Amino acid sequence: MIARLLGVGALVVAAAVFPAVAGAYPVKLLQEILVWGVFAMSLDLLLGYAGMVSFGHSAFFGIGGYVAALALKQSPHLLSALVLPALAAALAALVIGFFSIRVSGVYFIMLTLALSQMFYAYAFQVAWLGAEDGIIGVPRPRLLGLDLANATAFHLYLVALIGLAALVLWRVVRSPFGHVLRGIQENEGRMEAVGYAVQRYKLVAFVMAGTLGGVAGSLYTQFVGSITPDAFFWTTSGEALLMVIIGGTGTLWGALLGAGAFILLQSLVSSYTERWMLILGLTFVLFVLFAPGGIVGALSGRVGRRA
Amino acid sequence: MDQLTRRRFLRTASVAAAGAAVGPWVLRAEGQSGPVKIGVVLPYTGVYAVLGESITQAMELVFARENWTVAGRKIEMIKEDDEMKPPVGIRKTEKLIDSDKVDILTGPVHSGILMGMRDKVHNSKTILIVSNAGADAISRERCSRWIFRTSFSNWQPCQPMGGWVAKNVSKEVFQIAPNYQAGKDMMAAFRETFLPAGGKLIAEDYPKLGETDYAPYITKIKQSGAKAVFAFFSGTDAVNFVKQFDQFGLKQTVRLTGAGFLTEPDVLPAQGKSALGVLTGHFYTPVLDNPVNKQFVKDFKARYNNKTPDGFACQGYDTAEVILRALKAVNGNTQAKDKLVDAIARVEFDSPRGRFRFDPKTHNVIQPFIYVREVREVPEFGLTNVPIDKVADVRDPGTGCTLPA
Repeated sequence: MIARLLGVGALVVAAAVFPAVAGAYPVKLLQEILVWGVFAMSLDLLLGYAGMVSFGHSAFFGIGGYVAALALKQSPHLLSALVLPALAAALAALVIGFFSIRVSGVYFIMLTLALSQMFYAYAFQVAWLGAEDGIIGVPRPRLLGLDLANATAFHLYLVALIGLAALVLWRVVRSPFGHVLRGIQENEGRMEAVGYAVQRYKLVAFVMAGTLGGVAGSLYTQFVGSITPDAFFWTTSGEALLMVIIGGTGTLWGALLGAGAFILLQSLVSSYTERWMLILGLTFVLFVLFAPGGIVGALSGRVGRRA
Repeated sequence: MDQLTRRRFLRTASVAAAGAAVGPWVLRAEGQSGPVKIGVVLPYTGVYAVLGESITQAMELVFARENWTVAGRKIEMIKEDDEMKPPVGIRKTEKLIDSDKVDILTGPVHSGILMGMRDKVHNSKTILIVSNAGADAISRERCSRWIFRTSFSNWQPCQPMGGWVAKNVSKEVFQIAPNYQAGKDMMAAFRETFLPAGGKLIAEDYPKLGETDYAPYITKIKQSGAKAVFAFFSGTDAVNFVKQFDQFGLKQTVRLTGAGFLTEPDVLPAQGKSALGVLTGHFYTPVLDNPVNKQFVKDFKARYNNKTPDGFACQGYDTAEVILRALKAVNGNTQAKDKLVDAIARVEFDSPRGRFRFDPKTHNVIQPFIYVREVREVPEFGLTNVPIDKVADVRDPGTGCTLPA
């Protein structure tokens, strides 16, 4: 336990000092992996713990991203950068979750997909969100007198926030609440029979995941300084699902590893060949066939204890 | 700590000092004799790969003509696939600027990617030559002295068509375009000259992007009594709209006109004879009768398996020509960026589309001509866009752009 915490601490420190030893582009890649990692981890809470396969997680990424963009343009402060996007995403998750958790399996997938694509269609068309060009020229916030336009400050801010998000998620899945979610994944009917208010647990999990997804979207906006309707598109959800599955569902840090693997494959392999999709697809097939536990499962030989 | 520490320290320190002293010289020398790096961000996978391919092929054709050297330096093209996704395109831009340290960047096709990469390009003072994306804003309130555009602003092919249609086709027009900003902008650009010329807008309608069934819209057009339609669609939407417009028998009574993309060579084969007689405005068509274009079409066909170049290829050709001519003008020196930017702004040459030059006010191309083209069947080319009229010197108004003239 202590050793694990120390290990995680060492990783956080390593990520924090990475810019000191690496060039600008590797640092950008690391930052992007971290941002997508948070998004994938928030999806893993649904997919790997509560057993809810959501294909509409992009809705929260987009809402977080757009709210951050609009708010930061008004006033570049912490409230705009984190609080408002998180609240907006939570609210959206509450509404979407309220309707979606009533169904399960394929119907849940279809409903979440449909609802998220409504956001896409809206953002793509309305002028006040910049239509298909999105919102550009978003300034980074000022935090405790620290201007995050500074590359080093922004990197530390990202690493700290992402470490915090991981810590929160880790506490959640290890809490009694997390165990109930696992129980729901294993056998929903039995959990209900035992007396748990299954629907309420599922809704809370959905809102938590949505909120964190919104934070990831907001961090993405701050990272690139713009946001486009593609953030809402179903491929955003699909890529996050790929990251979670490649990394290993129900492990949290697997999602982070999966995000790393996906983005590195996408960025590095595609510089060498136009057929990089083929390589990504094959990787995915091989993982599903031979390492159903994802990267984490493969690393621990599938006998290690679950996180 | 052992005895070697001091000696090792001294050795390391002296090497480091020597390196620091010589470094700038080595780097500067490399900057002028190493290859000129040209970063290309275009879609190479997905449905828009054909556009990226056309642009790239034409660039390679021009560079190959110069044996991949300019002013004594090798030309190196670093191609990156943006997948038409803004997050990917922006990441690739960062890679080309920060990691590859390209001298000149070109691309993209997607306006969202262009808007997303704009700040990175502007702040890092990287020279970007836009080879397709038509977002008007990049020649207006979001213009930058580091950004040039060889392709078009969305406004350019549409605005001259308004007056022309009012004068030569009909004063009663129905407008139709997909329901998104670029579509609405193009319709507005058309009205800028259409209404003052006495035109009357009968009605307008905006089907959703990716619509497959245009029957309700075509019925509306029929009932409206309009004598002509001005449409903007591209890709599969253009195929579906043009085919259904013909199948519903509207072609006999209502004249179909539109922005050039409606009948570009990427959709024309699928539209087939349904497209015959459609009138569109665009800055290029492969049948243009000028010596540069004839040579271009001949070379392009010879190199690429008898493929006819399209407007996208013309954009690639001009992008490569601009790069070559500007680099020659500064004698291959890419370090003095201000001089290179000035040299690019001054480039002027005969392009397949006519006399090519940039507008000093916006760094956007001044279209030598917007050709009014009719789809006809021509012996050598098959179905193609034949120019029947032209409007000269079409420059974007550049509203809100404050570049020094």
